[in-house]
Amino acid sequence: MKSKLWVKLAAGVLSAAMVISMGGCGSSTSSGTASGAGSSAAAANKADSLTIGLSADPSTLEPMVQSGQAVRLIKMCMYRGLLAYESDGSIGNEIAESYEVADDNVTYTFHIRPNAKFQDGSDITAEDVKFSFERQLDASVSATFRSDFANMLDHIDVVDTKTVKFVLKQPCAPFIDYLTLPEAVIVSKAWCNSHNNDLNANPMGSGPYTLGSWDKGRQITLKAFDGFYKAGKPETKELDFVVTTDNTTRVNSLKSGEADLIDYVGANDATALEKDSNYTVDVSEGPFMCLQINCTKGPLADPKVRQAIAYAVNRQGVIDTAFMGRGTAMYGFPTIDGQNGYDGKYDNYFQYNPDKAKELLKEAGYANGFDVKILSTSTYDFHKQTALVVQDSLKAIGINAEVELPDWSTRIQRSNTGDYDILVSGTAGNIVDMDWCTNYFQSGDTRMNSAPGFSDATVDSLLKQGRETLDSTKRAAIYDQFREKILELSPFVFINYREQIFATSADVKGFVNLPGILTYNSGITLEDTYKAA
Amino acid sequence: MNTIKRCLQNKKFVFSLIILLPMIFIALFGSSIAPHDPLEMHTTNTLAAASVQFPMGTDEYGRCIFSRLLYGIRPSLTVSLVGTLGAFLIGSFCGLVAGYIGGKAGNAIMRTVETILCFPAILLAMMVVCLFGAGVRNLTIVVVILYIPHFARIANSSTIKVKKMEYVENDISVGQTTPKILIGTIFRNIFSPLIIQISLTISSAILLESGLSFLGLGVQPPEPSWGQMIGDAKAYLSVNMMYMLWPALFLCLTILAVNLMGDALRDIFDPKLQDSF
Repeated sequence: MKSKLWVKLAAGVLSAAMVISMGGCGSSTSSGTASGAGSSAAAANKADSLTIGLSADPSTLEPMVQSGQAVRLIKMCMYRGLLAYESDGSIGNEIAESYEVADDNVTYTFHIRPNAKFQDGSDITAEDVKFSFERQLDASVSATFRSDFANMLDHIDVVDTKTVKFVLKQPCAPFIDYLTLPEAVIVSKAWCNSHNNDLNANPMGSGPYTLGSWDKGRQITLKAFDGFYKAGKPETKELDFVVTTDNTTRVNSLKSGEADLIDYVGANDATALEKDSNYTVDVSEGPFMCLQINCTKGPLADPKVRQAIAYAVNRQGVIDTAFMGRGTAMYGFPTIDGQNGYDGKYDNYFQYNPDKAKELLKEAGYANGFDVKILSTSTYDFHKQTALVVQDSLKAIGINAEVELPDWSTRIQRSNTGDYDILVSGTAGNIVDMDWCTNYFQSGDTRMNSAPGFSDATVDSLLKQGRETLDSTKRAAIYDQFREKILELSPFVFINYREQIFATSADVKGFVNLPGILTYNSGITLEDTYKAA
Repeated sequence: MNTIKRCLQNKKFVFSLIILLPMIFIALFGSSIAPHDPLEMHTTNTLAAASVQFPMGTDEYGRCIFSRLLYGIRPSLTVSLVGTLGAFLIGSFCGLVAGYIGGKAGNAIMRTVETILCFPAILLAMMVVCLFGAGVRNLTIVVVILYIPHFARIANSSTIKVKKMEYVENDISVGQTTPKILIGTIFRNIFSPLIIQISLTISSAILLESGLSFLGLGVQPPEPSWGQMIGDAKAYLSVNMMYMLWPALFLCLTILAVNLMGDALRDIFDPKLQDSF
């Protein structure tokens, strides 16, 4: 018996040792040896590659389609546009070296950087710029901001190889802002023509990184492009985006050293990481949670019903549950402080008032409530939790909601085509100017950010005026009217501001979570990011 | 009866019964014991520790964990019991018929049924969920499909053995109708191994349902299921460990008890120990 016990113990120790050593293998790919062949003196202190734990697998790498913040991190490494927001929140030059606006306020002339090249080695020319924006308008590409560019652009002229002229249909105050969108990329005309216009299967841009490999559902590897127009960038030779959709696993991969940077850190994990000096937590409060309502579906077509939902939603409950108390409830319209002259007038348009909600339902003829479906996702916990709290809030006023929780890719496909009753959405408005509302609230085809079927002539007119008026005082007044109208019609129910949180290990430098709503553009700082080896 | 006495003398049987009886009680009467509505949110009191008001604390929505635990057994038991019953009825019938008919036809039936064995359980379940949606009904159907071959094989091999025995030849010479032979004589004699398979299937089904709910593909929120509670709780291990431990413990005990029951039944019904046959 004794010898048997001894054998068992030995076997146990051996197998434990095997398991531990196997756990050690195949983990960190990021701690590469510092390269001695770097071009600058500082290169000797930087790791060759950086591992990023990414919250979602891209459903497409088509750059003109917005499919979420996680994909934008990759997109901004591979593609660039004429201009972009920098880490300090100002607009900087990318492919464009400079530009002038003519006195007629509709002619914008851009000068392309002489050394700007595509990743296949070809020069970026005015023809490519013209082609790229015409591609935005091409229905088969399904560009997210197609309607905006179609509205603004009259035509584009090629002045010479490196000079391109945009002529707008009418003056457009936020035009430059639209050119900073991560989706407003410049792509190669020759490449698209010879590759069936399919940039998802054949990606090629002008950003600091090229696509090395895409192991679908698992990893995307980007390799530095040494012909990038910014000298000395990018800092790190290789970026490995490891798809880690489970929130807990992603945070654990940072803690174990497998990942150097992770996105979408949940509130509970952020609080714990902030206390640990081995990690840097970068927080921006800018995105907001809201419900996009399909205004074609039965009771939801009635603004009174939508207002009832706005009164019924327990916003503080959402913050306490999904965001561990971190965030600010929104009873009015989402606005950045002082944006376009806003003074807070409509911040308390709604309150948490289930009785008032029931009254409104009764007035609309739905005293006994009705059935409805809420589309959310299982991929992001805070999306799921928001959906469940909203479901509970609606139950309290007699609306029987069923929650649907597909994965993020499926959810994006469905939301892009308006296939939902009520959608839980976390978004940030895309551009700093109030004109971000046009993409969201203008009537027209269903798109990612619109409430399907929502169409109001007054809203359309106010949006048009706001875009075309150049005087800032007049614009402030126009947007005040707009806010009031949207709150009255409530195609969206706004819930709360939330934080967008990144975390890195303490030796990772250069990454910046851009402030406020620009947080979704943070991918631009990946060219500056390196790990001190 | 002789059998019942033998059951009660078996220690494993009694032990598993001690665990299973309260579980069955919870499944039937849980709604009367639960102090709160399992869906009721108290968002001002999330992730609270145990208290008089909330005996096991609250989850991230402020819902009573104890109440959710009491309700959470129902989907697991529904899927496993109903699914096993379906698999038992269909599988046994197929195996019985195939075994009795024998020859090429019997072979054909059995091989067809056995193709289901090619699918790993979780994979088949995920396929069904992706195509037809999640939920208790679809999961029950998955369980039925997955375990038909197990019952079929047992019924088939036992039938082949029993078919050759004297009293069956007796029945045939006396002119008994086929259905009466099948159900009356043969079935009665192959029942024992099937009983054991029933308990094994129940425990596998509970595990399957819990695993899928853990992944988010089983019982959909807000209705509770133990597997789903464990899945939700893993994000809050550092905040409130008991949130995960309670459903994990209950799940563990239930599966242990069902498996022990299967062991005990095998001991009791093993032919070598039986007096009469």
